[in-house]
Amino acid sequence: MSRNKWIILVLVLVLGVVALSACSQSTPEVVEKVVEKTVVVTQVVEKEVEKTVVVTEVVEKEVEVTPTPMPEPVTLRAYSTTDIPSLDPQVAEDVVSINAIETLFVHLTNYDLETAEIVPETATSWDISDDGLTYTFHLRTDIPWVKHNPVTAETTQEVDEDGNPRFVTANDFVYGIKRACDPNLGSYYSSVIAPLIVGCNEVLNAEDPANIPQELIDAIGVEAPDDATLVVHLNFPASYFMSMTPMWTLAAVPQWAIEANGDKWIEAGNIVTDGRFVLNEWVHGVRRTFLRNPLMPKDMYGTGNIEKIVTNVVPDTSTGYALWLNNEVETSGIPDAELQGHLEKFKDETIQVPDLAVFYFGFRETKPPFDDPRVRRAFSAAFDREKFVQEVRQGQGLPMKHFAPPGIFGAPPIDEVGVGFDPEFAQQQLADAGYPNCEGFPTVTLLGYSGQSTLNWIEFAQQQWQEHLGCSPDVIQIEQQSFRELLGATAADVPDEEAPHMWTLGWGPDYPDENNWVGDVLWCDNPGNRMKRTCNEIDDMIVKAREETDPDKRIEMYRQIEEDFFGKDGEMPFAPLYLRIAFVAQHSWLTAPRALFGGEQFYNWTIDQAAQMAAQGK
Amino acid sequence: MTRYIIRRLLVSIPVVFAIVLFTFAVVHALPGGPFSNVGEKAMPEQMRVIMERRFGLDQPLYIQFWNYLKMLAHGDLGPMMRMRSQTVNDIVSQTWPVSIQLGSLAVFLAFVIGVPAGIFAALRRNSWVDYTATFVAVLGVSINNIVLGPLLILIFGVWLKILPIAFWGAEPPWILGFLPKPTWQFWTHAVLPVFTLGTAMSASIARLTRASLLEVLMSDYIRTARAKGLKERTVIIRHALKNSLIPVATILGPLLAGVLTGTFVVEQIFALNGMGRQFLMSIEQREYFLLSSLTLIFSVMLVLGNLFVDIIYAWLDPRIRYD
Repeated sequence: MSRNKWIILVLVLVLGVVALSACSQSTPEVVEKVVEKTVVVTQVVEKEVEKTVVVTEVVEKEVEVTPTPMPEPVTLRAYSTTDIPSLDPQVAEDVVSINAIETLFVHLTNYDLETAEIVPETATSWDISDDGLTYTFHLRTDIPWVKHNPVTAETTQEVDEDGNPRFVTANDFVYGIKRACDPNLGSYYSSVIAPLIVGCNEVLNAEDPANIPQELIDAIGVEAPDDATLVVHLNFPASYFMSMTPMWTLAAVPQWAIEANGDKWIEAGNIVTDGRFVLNEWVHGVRRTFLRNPLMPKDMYGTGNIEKIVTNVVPDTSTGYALWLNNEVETSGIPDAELQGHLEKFKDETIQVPDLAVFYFGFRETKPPFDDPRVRRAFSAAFDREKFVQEVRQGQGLPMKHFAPPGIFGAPPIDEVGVGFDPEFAQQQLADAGYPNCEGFPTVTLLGYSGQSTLNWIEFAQQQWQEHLGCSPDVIQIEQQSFRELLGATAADVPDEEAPHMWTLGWGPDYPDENNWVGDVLWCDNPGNRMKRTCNEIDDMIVKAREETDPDKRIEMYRQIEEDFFGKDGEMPFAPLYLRIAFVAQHSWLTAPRALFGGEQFYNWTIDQAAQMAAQGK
Repeated sequence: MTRYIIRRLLVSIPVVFAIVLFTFAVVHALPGGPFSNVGEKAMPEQMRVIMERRFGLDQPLYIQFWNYLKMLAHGDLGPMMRMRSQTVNDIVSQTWPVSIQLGSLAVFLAFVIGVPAGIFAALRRNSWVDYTATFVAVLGVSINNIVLGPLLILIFGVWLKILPIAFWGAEPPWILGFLPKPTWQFWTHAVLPVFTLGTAMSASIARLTRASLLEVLMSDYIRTARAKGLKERTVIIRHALKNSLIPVATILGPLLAGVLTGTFVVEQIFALNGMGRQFLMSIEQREYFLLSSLTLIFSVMLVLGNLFVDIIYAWLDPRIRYD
């Protein structure tokens, strides 16, 4: 045989071995097992009596054991477009992290799924002092701190140095809330809670964050008179504080685990949790798996039947949608290009999910010609929101005439406040401002996010302003920048001559109260006052409304504030456009009531496992 | 040759240094920073300042760069500023093996398809074999990964349901730090992404091989070989083929450096946790340390790839000597 043939032969053999090793099926489980073998012997004895003797003999034998199939846990198969940035309740800032934290941790209170009202969770009840400055929470003390071992799949309750089982106490909340005031964590949400809680802002803004004096930390207004009582002291009677109590930032966290592992305390195997699920696996950038926490008090399990959650990281929505078409995930976003086809084929397996983010065109109130409220009103009223949502957003949105959307405490009913689209009113306002049919109107700049979708809606706006105001598209100069650049270009400290006249931006709520809208975005004393509003009587009412303890009066005050901003004589600091709503593909075997606020409550989701498995051909 | 390799490696150090310095400067010149915004909201100024101070971003750029070099000297690629339970070393050790596995399989596939296709096309010039190979090659080059990937997913994953739609079939811990366990699951998951990535490369290689071989076949020494009465097979395999592969070898260096350090599009489409995805994420989120480190790895790979090409040259063309 020639040398070449030998080489070919060897190569074929090697490839064959590799292929066989790859193709080989997993071998059946073989165990060495001691079995008792019973032998029945019939023997004849001398007395000619037939006797049956049972001989028991012990033999060792290799047997193949086919394990009894365990019922498959009810499994939610999901995907997210990113890895979890953080599982630390005081650090988390994004939806992916907040969903995971809702799964792994209980909070002080919770949001009702349907009404977004505050319902008990760890706190079973609460009292508010007459002056509205002190909140006392009465906590249950039967929620265990647990640690899950990913290798053995065992969940065990944590114990203290003396061997006593650890349960969630008020002290864990005190530690968590004080930790949330620590500027070194660098969490956006620290700045949301800090102005309310006594002493928190002082710590957050400490001169030397690396060496915060202990007395400053001790002065934070949160205390635990006993394990079951948590007291929070506020700087002012913030009526909206209760609506913030389900926030992850205020959650209890395990001090001993954090101190033992530092930033790594959230990794699988290290993390100590107190929620309905435990973290069984976290392969960064690939997958995380959650299992039901078997030690959770039964009354806190939730109404759902899901026992296991497997979430893969799928950055591309088109791939996620393909997985959904293949019944490999229960729910998926729908790529824009597929939306119309999907709605035709799978109308019954489509839900609409609002994220309560409202988008708008901001106006620089100090930059002519938008320093005239009539010009701002004209540009707002000349925009057909209904047509915009249908044509540009493909139906994924709700036209908005004012700022705060339904579901927010204090938000006026959707159609009762605000001018919205009114071309005649728009033309009149522009004429009154000295620009009839847009004659003599100066060139203005409109800055939008980069990307085709934003360009689509800016171009739609140009058409609208041409059609209803007579402003040539040349008058509106379009610029597009990345989101970061846009934030920088529209910041309050940017001089007028460098800032754009108009820009696109949106606001999603942190907590379900009007104060988070008009107070945190439009209030003139807000550091993020991009519109450069000057303070007036509306701002006085914003301050009064946030401290008003009578809910009915607050609702009425916020209605008036929205009217003063977006009504016919309103200041119109921006033109509200639409509430974002996403179409989501969801298989019929999943019942998933979506959370308006906070993380998704997977423990209240239900899967018809028989239908799910049938779809997978099992 | 050894002296040549050592010399080349030493010369490469300032090149790599310059690339890292340039990247470091450019990255920091991008508008915004890692703490300028939180999702769709602006980060409060106070928080931004504190966090920038924590990671030394408040220092002058040359001090930041010096600190970064000191970290590199200790084998530390730096911290992750947003995903703080991870370090850049963690990210690289998790994702680079996936890119190496995907890239090397794709390059292997590209050569297995591309070189023979180019040879057959050249040997059967202007025949249906040539036209078919050229057509397929043009098609392969023309169809972008961003089109081919979803198309393959649709056909083989969704319609025929014979191959997995997404994910890599192997996970850490890796064998020897970067090799997968060669399970059935690994191979089935590798088919679509490897084919997607390898197709365009194989098309380029086929076209290059064809053109190069045609040129070599018309050269004087081939005519001499034929005139000596050598068999056509011997002329092709022993004399023409090796020389015709020199241009192919030239693209091998950058090709290897490119695909072994991550291919964003394929990793994105097939949900693979490779290094290419990290490139984009690091730019989007202004993860300065991650982006600088990935660029460093890429530039080192490029240097090594080109060195590898030089060594291949010497093997392909005995006239080339480096010492």
